[in-house]
Amino acid sequence: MLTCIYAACKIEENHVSAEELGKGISQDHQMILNNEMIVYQSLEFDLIVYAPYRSVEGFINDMEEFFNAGDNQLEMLKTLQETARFEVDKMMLTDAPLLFPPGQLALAALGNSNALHRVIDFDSYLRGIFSRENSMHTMSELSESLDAIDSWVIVSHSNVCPLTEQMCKFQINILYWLGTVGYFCFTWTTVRP
Amino acid sequence: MAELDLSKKVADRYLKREVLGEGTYGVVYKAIDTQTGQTVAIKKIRLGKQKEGVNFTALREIKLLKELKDPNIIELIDAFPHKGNLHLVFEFMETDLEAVIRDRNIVLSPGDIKSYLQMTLKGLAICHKKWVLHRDMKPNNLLIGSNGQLKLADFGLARVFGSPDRRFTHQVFARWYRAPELLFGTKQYGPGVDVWAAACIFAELLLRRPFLQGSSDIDQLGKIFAAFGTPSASQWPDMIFLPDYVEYQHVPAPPLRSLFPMASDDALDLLSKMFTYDPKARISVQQALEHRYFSSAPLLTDPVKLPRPAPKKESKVSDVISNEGPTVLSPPRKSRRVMPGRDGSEGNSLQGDKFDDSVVSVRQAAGDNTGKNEPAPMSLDFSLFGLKPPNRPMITSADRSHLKRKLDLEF
Repeated sequence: MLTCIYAACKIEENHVSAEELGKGISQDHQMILNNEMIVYQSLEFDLIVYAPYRSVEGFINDMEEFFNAGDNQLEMLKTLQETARFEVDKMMLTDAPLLFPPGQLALAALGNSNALHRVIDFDSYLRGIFSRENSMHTMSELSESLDAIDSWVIVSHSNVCPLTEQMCKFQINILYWLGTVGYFCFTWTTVRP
Repeated sequence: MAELDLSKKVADRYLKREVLGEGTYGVVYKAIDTQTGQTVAIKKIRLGKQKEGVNFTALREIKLLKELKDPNIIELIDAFPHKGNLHLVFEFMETDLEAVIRDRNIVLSPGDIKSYLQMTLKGLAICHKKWVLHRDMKPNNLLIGSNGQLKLADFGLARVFGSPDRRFTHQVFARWYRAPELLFGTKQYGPGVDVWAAACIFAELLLRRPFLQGSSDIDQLGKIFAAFGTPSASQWPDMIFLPDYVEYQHVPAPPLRSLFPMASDDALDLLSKMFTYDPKARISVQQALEHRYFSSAPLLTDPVKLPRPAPKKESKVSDVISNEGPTVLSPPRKSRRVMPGRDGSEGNSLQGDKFDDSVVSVRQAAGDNTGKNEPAPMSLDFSLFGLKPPNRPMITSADRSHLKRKLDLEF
């Protein structure tokens, strides 16, 4: 588990040295390093996880143009964006980032955020995307994906993550990295005999 | 992959052949993939001695090349640990662009140069489209395969860009290819840094020597400003806010034509756009590919027909079945090797001045070509002018120690 955290930080270019990790939990840091290659091999060196944070920003920018937002609406879109980020944080604790592309994850987060704040007509925005992009897919397909993402968040959110408290000691962006660690753990368990 | 017996992986699948070279992190050797018959290059990276586990640049190379699949980007075929080392398996490439540029037996026609540049920019366009900066563009990282395809290689310094709040080190690129904003110490930069380096490669293809050969960061900036004039505030408004900005004595820009006398007007136009000081105003890779330089005459040379250095003769007799096809010879080519009248022995001349004089001699000697629209192919023999090609800098030791420290920090 600690090797997964170490490897995740390394791959995401937010390096935390093994010694620091080791000190934090009173463990020998060499144990962390010894298992590093096993982690990469288990993942078959597929190391990039695409988080939807940037996609959320992209959609917010697109909404500003789509709705021709004035000053008041810009403030509301900013609120929408901030709540959407918390939605994404929750998603990162689930398997959803492994199953859906970042764009869909971002739309699911924005949809939930909008359900709370009621900033925009979300359905008309989605229809606008389809009419603009000549999509090969249908509106109902997208709705199914968004609902499926919501299901993942609801199911996973009911389980409190036992590592949360301990991870606070490292002052790492807990939600982000736990999501990535979850990715490694998921693959790790499937590889185990 | 997991089911294979790892201790026998190399022996079971990859037959080792000769060593191709050695880099900072390990040896690269040639091998045959017995499953496919394909010739490959295997980079062996030492593991055990690293204080922080698996090598950072190797991880980065694996991570990014897994995402980048394109005819103009080298393919990472496989990766695995074996006998305490990490092995990266790449497709085998016969030579690199540096070898082409430095080979005095090769004449590069305008169509050849255009073709090499286009393939470079195509590979770079895929990187930027996937939000990857290469950050080490230089001729010896542009590998050339048996079919003449040029591919970007060495992604050890590459990384993902595009997050507004991320800051990167400015200690990237070999110095001669480093953009002015990096030399002024910026940590927030984008794809423009790769475009500047590609422009230096373009210039190098035209000149057949490295273009801006600075011996320090200050000297590099001095060489840049001597070539393009000291930037004015109107040219590059944000310049004075960069962390390591220093004011240089004003020098007016010489005509670009005087630096690249044999280049076409379209080539000069593209060069000037790629060498724009303000990174926000610098042409993007995609825009560069759409420039009229690539669609105007002379036509692009087909990659298979591009001139390449003669392959080194292999003295070993090998009974391993070779998958290599027949050697593609360059077609007979009318070329003029112009011998200047000067002996180039005047010690007082600066290198630039000497070069300018030599070019004048070349033009005079080729007098019957003056009226033609198409510039004559130009081939320089350094020995004739007493100019020895300087050793090409890697990232220097000072830069490297800084780089190493950065690896644990914000790299």
